[in-house]
Amino acid sequence: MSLQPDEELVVYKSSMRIPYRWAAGLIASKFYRHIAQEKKIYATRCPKTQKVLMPPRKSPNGTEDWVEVGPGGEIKSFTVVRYPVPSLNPTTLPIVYALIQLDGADTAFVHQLGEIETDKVKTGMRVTAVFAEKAAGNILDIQYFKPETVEIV
Amino acid sequence: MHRVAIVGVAQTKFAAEKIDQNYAELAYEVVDSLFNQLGIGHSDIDNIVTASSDFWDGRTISSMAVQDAVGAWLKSETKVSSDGTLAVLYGMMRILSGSFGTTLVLAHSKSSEGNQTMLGNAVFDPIYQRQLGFDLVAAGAMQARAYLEKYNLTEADLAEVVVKNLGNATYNPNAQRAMSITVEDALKSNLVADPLRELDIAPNSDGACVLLLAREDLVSKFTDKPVWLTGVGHYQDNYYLGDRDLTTSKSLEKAAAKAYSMAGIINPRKELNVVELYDTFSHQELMWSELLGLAERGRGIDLIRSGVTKLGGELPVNPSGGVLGAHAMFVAGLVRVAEAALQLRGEAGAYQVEGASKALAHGTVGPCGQTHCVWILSNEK
Amino acid sequence: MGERVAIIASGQTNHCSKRTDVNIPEMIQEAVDRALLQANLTLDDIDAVVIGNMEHFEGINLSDMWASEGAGSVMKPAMKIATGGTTGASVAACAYYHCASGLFDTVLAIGWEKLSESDPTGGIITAFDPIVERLTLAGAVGGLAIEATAYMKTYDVPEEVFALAAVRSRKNAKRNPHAHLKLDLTVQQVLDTPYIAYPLHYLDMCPASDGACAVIMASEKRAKDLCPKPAWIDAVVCRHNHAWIGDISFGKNSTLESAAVEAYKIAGITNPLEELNVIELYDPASYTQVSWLEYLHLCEMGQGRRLVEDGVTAFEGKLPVNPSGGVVSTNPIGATALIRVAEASLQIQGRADERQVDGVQRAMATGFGGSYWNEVFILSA
Repeated sequence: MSLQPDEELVVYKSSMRIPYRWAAGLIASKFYRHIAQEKKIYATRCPKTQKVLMPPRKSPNGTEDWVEVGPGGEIKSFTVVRYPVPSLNPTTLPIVYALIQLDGADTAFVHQLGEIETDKVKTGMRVTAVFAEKAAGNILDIQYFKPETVEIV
Repeated sequence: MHRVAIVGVAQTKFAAEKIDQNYAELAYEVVDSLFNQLGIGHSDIDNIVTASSDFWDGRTISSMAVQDAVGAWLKSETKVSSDGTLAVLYGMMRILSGSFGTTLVLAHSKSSEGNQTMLGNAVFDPIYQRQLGFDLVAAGAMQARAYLEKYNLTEADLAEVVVKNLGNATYNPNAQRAMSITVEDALKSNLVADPLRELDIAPNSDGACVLLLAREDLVSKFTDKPVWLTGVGHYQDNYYLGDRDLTTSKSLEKAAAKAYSMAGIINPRKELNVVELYDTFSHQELMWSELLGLAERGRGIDLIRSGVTKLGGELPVNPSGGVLGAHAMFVAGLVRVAEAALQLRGEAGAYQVEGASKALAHGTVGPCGQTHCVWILSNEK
Repeated sequence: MGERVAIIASGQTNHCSKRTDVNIPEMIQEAVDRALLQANLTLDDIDAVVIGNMEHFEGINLSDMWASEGAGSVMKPAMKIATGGTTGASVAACAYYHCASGLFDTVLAIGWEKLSESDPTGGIITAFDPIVERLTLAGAVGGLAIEATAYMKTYDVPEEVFALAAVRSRKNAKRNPHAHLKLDLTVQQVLDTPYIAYPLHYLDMCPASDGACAVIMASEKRAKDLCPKPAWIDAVVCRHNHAWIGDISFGKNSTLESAAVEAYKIAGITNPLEELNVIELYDPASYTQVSWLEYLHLCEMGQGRRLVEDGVTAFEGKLPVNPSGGVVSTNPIGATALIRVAEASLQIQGRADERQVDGVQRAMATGFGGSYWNEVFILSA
């Protein structure tokens, strides 16, 4: 079967709108509580490998060993995203995403960078957390990471 | 243990937007094509394994739409919600179990029907990551940078992968992105997520692919050119990107070691004749080649520079153009297996690797290659 | 035939309407830990993992990636299976074929869902074709209500019979520490709840639950080494249906009948009412505990009510159906059908505690989903 010149194909446009409410659980709730109340970042030590894991994880026997990490850390890798990110509204392009290993943690985690020119970002650079004024209980309670200020003599 | 062979393959042409077919119709197209090639019908199919994604299809129980296309009525059908290479594995298991003689393995996807950034973002957990907005491309770009910086490679090295694969794709009538370009041209394509440019990133494609697997004693009923499944390995890595060393992949190394061991391969670089890799991003062809033992770590680029992996080289990698030539989610891994099978049957047309008898096909799924599946195929019994 | 396979252990969360104390991988880990504890194994003993859920119920794309944090699948062969309501059965079947193929010896099967995290009907409605069906169908309840109405009319069965099955299930659930709805009800109380869709009252329907289930399967030799009383898997049969809802016969659950008949044949069962000792039926609504017994050939068509009213299927009856409380008591969708298989294996193993049926030698478990497709398992001591 083929299309006649005066015929059009139907493309039905829709979107899925399903409301979600994700339980963070005891561990992540505590992580966000530390940020909201103290502006401090805590990770957990894995009882098996002794590695400090960021983000924090539940321990198999339920006795988590919490370790304060950061707020400073090192960029392990990064990218400068130049396409619209629909879930961030409004999106200010470009967005710099970085894998950041916080001081005291053995694993890096992903976050955004701010207060920096995109062409100045380098792997190995020191950054520090900037906390959001109002905590909402998600990862953007750390608003972004900015370069650590170094005293120029 | 019985042996299992691929006795037929079919795929659609891949395109950015196939608005003239819904995805059930893509499935009909390839099943029909396969049946016509082999002169068979639904009654020859004992059971079916499909691969598709509820998220990419925008449909819960995405396999429901293709039940009629695969002839599932009163048969056993199941869905692997992962890459097609894993669907082949499950299809083989079902034959090896003695319960079935033949398995039809189908994958379908229409990337054009969803927003890829939102779909990719939904792979990241809503507790610690999703609100950041990043997606599979941004994750891949961070891996690319980590890999390039660790081994002192440049964007021009990535461009060489692009030039080779998009060049190969010009010989493949099913490829979506096919270009005869130079490294300079590739470096002029738009930066999308540093250091990755538009041409470093697989395009989003619509398409479907199907294979028929058969038990050893049934093979001759379907073909005189069976392609034997001789080795397979699949492993899953850590989820959080920062838990892994992104410049390597333990899961791929383990998957390859298992597949090689099963197939009796000791020196893959010498024993394999053709490789089809799942390279969602240009840097991944280099990384995956190294981790499959085809080159020293950090020296995957030498395979391209020396011409080893080009079409006509000693060990062509992605003669079809690979995933940079067409990327339909979950289908792309099945296409790697199908392309390897075509090579071993001598049916790869303008990109045929002469005299190929052993092939590797690779699939991956998840951020920066969290899960890998490695297949070894052979046309010799 | 392939390798003989048995279930050696299982573990479940205590299913309930909302688990806010754990996130998704944490909830999965609870079930996995309990299964490992029962088997007296550690994750090091597990060769491969099969996991499943339905992605839109939690909004997690490639959900096996994040789930790996709790599934114990990191650095193991792992694959994800998703087939709608049957997901848990399909996961169990996939784990079975892992072992039966001879490729793996000890396999962990996991099904999970956290329905409190979304709107389940909002997720289910997307199972239907987006252009033709989605705009007119109303989730899973509609189809069931149509079947129930047709059944009542054809065989002159009143709602009271369905309500009796609902009452019994919630009472059985009181014996099961893992069950969600544990209630002492009367038939009148069920009938007094509002219709969700005629003729199904609120309390005729399954709840929406949070929960996970993990089952450990092993090949024959390994099962005998590891477990004093394995539950052997005698038959695994799946029957699928058409793609379009309009093509499905709501007057006859053909796929359940076809699957059961084939399973009986494989297991050598000629008189299921006499030879089966317990059934864990996937009962999305109470009436299925009446009408679907007929497709299992436990009685003549239209006579299912006799089995219910005469107490044959009651806990103390000759052939108890759902001593666990069944799906109308507990429904974390991706886990639900795996719970049926796990509960059947517990009955065989004599591990069902308060809900143990005496002297179980043979058990059946079923899974139901998608466009009226079914999977059937027969287990034996």
